[in-house]
Amino acid sequence: MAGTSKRSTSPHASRSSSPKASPCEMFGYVGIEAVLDQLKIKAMKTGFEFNIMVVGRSGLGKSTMVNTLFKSKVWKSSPVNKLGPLPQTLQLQSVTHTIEEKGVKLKLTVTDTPGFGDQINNDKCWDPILNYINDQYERYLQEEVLITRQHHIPDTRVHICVYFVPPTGHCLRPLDIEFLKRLCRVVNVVPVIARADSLTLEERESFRWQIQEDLKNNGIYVYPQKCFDEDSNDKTLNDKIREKIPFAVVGADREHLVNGKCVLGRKTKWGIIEVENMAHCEFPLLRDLLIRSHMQDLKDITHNVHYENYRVHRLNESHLLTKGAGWVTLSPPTRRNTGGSSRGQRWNRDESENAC
Amino acid sequence: MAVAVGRPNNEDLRNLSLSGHVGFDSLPDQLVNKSTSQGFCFNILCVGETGIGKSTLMDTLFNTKFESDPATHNEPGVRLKARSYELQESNVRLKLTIVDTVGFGDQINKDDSYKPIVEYIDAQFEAYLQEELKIKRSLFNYHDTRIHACLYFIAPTGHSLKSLDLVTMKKLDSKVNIIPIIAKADTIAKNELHRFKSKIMSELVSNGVQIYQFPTDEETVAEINATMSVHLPFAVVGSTEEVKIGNKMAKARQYPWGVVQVENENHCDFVKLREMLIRVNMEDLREQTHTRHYELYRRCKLEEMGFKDTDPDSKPFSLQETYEAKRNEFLGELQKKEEEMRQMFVMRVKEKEAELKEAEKDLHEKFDLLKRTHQEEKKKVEDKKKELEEEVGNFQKKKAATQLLQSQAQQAGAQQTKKDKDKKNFFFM
Repeated sequence: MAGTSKRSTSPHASRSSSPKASPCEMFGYVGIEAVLDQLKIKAMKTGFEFNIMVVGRSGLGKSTMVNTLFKSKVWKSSPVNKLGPLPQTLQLQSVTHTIEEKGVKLKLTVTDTPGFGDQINNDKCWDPILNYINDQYERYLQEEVLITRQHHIPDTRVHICVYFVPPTGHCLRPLDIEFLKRLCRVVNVVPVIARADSLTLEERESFRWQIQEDLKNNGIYVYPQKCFDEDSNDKTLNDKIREKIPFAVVGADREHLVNGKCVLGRKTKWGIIEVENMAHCEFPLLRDLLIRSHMQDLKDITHNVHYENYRVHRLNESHLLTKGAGWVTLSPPTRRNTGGSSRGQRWNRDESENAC
Repeated sequence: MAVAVGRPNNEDLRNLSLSGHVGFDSLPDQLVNKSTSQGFCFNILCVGETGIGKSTLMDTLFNTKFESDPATHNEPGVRLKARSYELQESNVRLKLTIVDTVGFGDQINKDDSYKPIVEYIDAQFEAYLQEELKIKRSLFNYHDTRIHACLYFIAPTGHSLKSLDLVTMKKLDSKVNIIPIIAKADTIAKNELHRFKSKIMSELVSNGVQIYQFPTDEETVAEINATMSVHLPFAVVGSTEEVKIGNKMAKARQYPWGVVQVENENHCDFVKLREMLIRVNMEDLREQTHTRHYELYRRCKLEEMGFKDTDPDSKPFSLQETYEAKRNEFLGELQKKEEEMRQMFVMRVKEKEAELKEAEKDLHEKFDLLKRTHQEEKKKVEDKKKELEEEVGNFQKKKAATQLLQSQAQQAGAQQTKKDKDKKNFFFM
């Protein structure tokens, strides 16, 4: 395996740039690329963490979707008793599991929000959710500023928030818009059209288009955000994804026999809706985005952008916070008012170029 | 509307069985792809006497020629010279920084030789800490300059470690991963080498020097690391010149009595060093530097600065208070500096004024002096002139008087002569 030595002219050279580094040609194989394997081995030994939050009105199939995504019964029992009365208050519930696939260990935390949007007066129903997300950032920050810190700070920060839009077929409701506006600044948000089996393909397309318009008009930047595209490859890949957002998904955790194969699907009188069939619904796109291709990117953006934003704010405001006992909960409205200064460097730089 | 936030109730972490392929087994690959696009940093510090073969070994290790001129032996002290290079192999970009200790071991008094090295290592930790403590920081973009591995070159005396070596290694062992190597190993015979190695290792142990331990906790690398550890310190030979061995060209050193092949494991441990340093443990070296040495430095530095971890109840406040204290301290210092500068400015202005006044006074004095001398001279000249005029006047008078006298005398003389003449004439008649 003769080492091909190239001058490094990659566009990322500017990322970690030092003014005095000179490119060097190597005359033979050294073995530097072995560091990739070393990295992989170390990562597989420590394991990975992933935290996902699902938000939406009850009955949209959030729990089922999570079960379908991770092909297991994530919730031992439904967090809300389906037969009982709707909860009077918004409660967040988390459950953590360790799953393993081909030697890769993943600590998965799923946070559900039963009761969201179910009240008659849903004003400020996003507050508990925002508080929860900020609390996770706070926890991480507290660990990070310790003098004696742990080797590996447990990461409970929400990496992705999947927002379930009810399939009305018209446009986003005021509640959706308010929620998405606030959340997209703090966490990665991916909206999906829930229970898409109630819409025909044409209805889906027009609904999708309408939602994209609504998002654009309200300045809501969902994942993958345009301003974080690193290079042209990323851009083309993410553009394709952005065209399809929001994905029209269907969740199912039962298997049925179709053409001799066992597939996950919903059985109705007029046919079986196959969850993993692209012709039926866009669940595979969601799964690929969240798990197979962008999971690491989600974590990186949460760590490098959202967490840093929170940290900047927290440290700047620290002298304003009053002393009290226990946790200091930051109320989102204070931060909203500080507008542009609440965004991270990357966000700031690209905001001027074009709307994300 | 009453809103309650349910504290996340973590059920016990249980292993969930998957009923199908989910796909997160691609996570390590995703991670690796991200890392390759960012590139890797690796910083090696070479500590050893001048001429022991540090630059040659680096050239041999990385199969390239890093340009540098050999150092002189006349350095007044030890200084560190860092050079960065960008290497690329397949899709891995490595930003390699090699730090050299110039002048190490050359001075007559080597008491302070280790100090510049320790200062340099601390400075890199400090830079990283400063970046980490900033409010607006960009750690993912940061060019890591912390030293990941320190190759300590031991001179091949064949006896034991020098005291300079022991002292230096002892000072460095809590700050950096030390890998001791025996340089120019082709000058030691095989049996001597074995004794030398055990002597060195026992000296290190008895002096409590913590060298880098190759990790043995993962099955994949445990075995190879364990076998290699036995051969510490590695006896290496470096060479960038190639000699024809058999029908291949290989890196070697040619002597009249034979050829020492660098990559021949029977001749020296170069291959082992390369395996351990690059191919097996590069990532572990980086990780140890960050999680152990850097954390230790950070802990000491923060404690020094007065930060404390208080009990859980007041954790949010220690953050507030300490940052506020820092801010106040900083502002206070700023004010103090401003005051100092202002005072210094005033003082300087005063000094300058005084100087100018002095100069002015001098000038006035000089002028006065000049004027006086000028007047005196003038007076003198006038006096002389008067004298001269007097003299001239006297002279004229005298001249007039003499002329008168003369003319009188002449007349008298003329009469007398006439008389005489008449007399004469009278007689002659």
